[in-house]
Amino acid sequence: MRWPAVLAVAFSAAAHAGEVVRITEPETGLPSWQWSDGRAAFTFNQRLPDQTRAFFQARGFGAEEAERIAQACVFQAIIRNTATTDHVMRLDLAEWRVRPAGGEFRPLIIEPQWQKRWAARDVAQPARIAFRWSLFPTRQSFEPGDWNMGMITVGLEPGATFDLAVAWHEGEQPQERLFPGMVCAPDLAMEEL
Amino acid sequence: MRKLLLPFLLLMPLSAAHAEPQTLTPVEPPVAAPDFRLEDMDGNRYALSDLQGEVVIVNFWATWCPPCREEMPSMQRAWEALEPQGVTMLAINVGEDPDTVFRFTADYPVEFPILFDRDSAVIGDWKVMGLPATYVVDPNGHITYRAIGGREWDDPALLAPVLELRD
Repeated sequence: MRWPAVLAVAFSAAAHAGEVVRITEPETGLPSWQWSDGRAAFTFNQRLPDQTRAFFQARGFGAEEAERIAQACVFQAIIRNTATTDHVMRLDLAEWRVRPAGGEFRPLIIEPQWQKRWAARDVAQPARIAFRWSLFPTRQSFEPGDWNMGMITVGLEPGATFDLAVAWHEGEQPQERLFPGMVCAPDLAMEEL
Repeated sequence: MRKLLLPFLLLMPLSAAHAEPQTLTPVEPPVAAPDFRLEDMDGNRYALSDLQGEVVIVNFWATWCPPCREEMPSMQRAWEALEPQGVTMLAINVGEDPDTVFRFTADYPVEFPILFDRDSAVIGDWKVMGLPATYVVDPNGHITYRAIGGREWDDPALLAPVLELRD
């Protein structure tokens, strides 16, 4: 696994031109982490567990299954190939890693893993189709100007702090970026109980 | 070498410098578009193979997909410009039912056909990875351009290469 080496690079001074910035989305009041170097742009918007519960229950998931997703620390990812040359951007979420505060790097929960759970629980096909297309594609290839938006599931509890290590290829060149100090949305519904 | 279409990028005024470029990526070499037979909201059947000889824009979307919703009004404006010029546009909804889409069209009125891929078989055949995704099929039935993610479809620069595909 290459992430220990990646970390050394990512924590060193500017492996890429841009720096990760944390902003508050004016429409939602929720934090968002963003980074761009002019060729690739990443945005990760925090999603409240209640948003996730409501979204998936409206698409055919039972309360129990929706709760499992809601408790998995969901972000909305927006990724763009902003290059003005013909660089193809390829990414595979199976290569991404998350490091919880004080912990070790580990993989995200990616869509095929969820689908195994839904198959085991006999989740209805329409719900599974909606889930498939709601999550950010596990593998994606972007030509310049292409982009996509979808959910990623970090696999940590609500309120957890973590670093997200993102990997992609720009043409044949591997690229990495660390998003330090990201935070899973708190579960406000549980806190009110 | 892929030839990327970024026709207005260098001509944009500074005030639009942060706007995303409008791109269609050529598919080289063009590949045969997988045929499909799907119904619209009224039960009318559409087969891609029946449209041989026409330029067809095929868009995959869902009502809950934010960029899909965002590009719908510009797709309608594009349709108004393209239909008189002999270009067909088909929007294939993935995994939803006609009632859901009917309610959606109250807020996003469109006149081009919306087809239903309820079991996601067609989107699987087309090897789409994410929504929205749009493909341009030439009169010979080959996919010649693709766009992953939303676009402003009424941009004349984006539509020019589509119109050039007509016989």
